[in-house]
Amino acid sequence: MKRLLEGSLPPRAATLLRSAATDVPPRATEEKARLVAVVAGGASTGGVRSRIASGKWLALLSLVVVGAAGVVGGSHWLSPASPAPELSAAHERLDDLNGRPAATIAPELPSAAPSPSPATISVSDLPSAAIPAPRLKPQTASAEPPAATAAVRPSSAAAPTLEDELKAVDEARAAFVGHDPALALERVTSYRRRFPAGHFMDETEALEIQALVALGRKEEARSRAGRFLALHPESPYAQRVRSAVGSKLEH
Amino acid sequence: MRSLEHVVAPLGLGQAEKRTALVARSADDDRSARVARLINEHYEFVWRSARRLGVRDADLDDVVQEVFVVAARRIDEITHELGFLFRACMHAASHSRRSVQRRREVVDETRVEHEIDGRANPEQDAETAEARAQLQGILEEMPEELRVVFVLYELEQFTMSEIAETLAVPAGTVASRLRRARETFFARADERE
Repeated sequence: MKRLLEGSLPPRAATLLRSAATDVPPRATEEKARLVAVVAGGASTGGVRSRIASGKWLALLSLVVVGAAGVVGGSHWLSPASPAPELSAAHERLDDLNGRPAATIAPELPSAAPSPSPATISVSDLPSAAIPAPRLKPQTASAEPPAATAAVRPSSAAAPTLEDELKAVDEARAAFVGHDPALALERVTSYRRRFPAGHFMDETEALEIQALVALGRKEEARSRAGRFLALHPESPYAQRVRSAVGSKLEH
Repeated sequence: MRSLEHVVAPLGLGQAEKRTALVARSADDDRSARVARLINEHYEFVWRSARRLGVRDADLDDVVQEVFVVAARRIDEITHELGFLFRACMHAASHSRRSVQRRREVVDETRVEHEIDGRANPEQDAETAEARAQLQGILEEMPEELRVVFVLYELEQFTMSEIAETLAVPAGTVASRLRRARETFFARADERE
C-alpha cells in the first residue's frame, strides 16, 4: 500500500502531512546528553529516575548525599544491589512485545550485575533514611503517592510492593497472551483478592472481559463491559473492551 | 581489560570470582553503550511519538526518560528497537494521560494547539506551525488504535508487517485500521480547510 505522501493528495492534506517533518525536539543535543548520563551512565547508582538537571533538586540532592555519606561511609555506591527504579515499573508491561511472557523478563537494570563482594553493603542493610529520588515536577510525584513511595524504599517482605502488583498483572496478561484465558481469569481473581485497592484495576477488568470472550462467555463479558464503560468511559482500556465485545456497546 | 583488572583487584577476589566479575562488568559496559546509542539514535523518534500519543509538553521530558529507562532495563530483550520504543511510549503516554486526568486538567484542542504554537521554532513560518498544530489536533481526535497505525505508517515510515509486530495484531487489522484512520484524517483535514 502506498503512503499518502507518495500519491496524489488534496493540497491541505499534503500540507498537514508534510508539516510533520518540522516536528523536532527543541533541545535534542542537551537532552540526549542528560539521558545518556542519567539512564545509560547512572544506572548502577540507582539514580535512573533522578532528573538531576534541575538546579533546585541538585542542591537538595547534594545535601542529602552529604548527610547519607556520613551514615553509610560511602559504601552505598559500591553496592551491586542498588534498588531498581520501581517507580518506572508501572509502565513496563511490555510482556508480549518480543513474543515473550513478562514472567521471563528479569527486572534488574543492565548494570546491576550480581558480583558479591566483601566490600559491599546490601541495600536492605542500609539505614531506613534512604536518599529520595526527586522528580523534576513535584506535582507529578504528588499525583502518584503509592508509586513514589515504592521508588524510594527497598522492597519490603512485609507489604506487597508495586513491583509485586505489577508482576501479578503481568502474569495474568501472560496467561491470556499464552492462550490460556481460564488461567488469566484465575490470576485476575487472585490479583483482586491480593490487591483490593490495586493500581491496575481497569487493566485487569479489561483483561477479564477479554478472557471471558475468549472462553465463549459472551453475555457475561458484555455485561461486565457495559459496566466497565459506564464507570471508566475515558479509560485507555475502553477501546480494548469495546473491541473485545464487538460494536454493540459503542457509544 | 586492564582497566577492569584495576577495578576488581583491590576487592581481593579469587581468580574465578574475578573472571566472573570481569565478564559481568564487560557485559554491563556493552549494555550501557547500547543504551547510549539507542538514546542518541532514537531520541527524536521517542519525543515525536510521545507527543503524537497525546503527552502534554509539560510531561514530555519525563515520558521520554521513562521510555529509555524501560529500554535500559530490557535492553537484552529488544529485537526491533523502534517497535519496542514505540510500545514503551504507548504505555508511558497512557500513564501520563491518566496522571493528567487525576490532576483534573483538561486537554482540549485549543490548549493542545496553543502548546504547539508556543513550541514553534522562530525560523519556521507561521503557516507550517499552524499546519503542524492542526495535524496534532487531528491526531488527538483519532481513537488511539487508529492514531498509532496512522503515525507509524504515514509519518514514521514503518512497514505494515513492522506495525503488526509492534502492536501484536494481524496485518489485516493494521490495514483496516489504516484505512479508517485515513478516512478520519481526510474528513478532519477538510473541516480545517
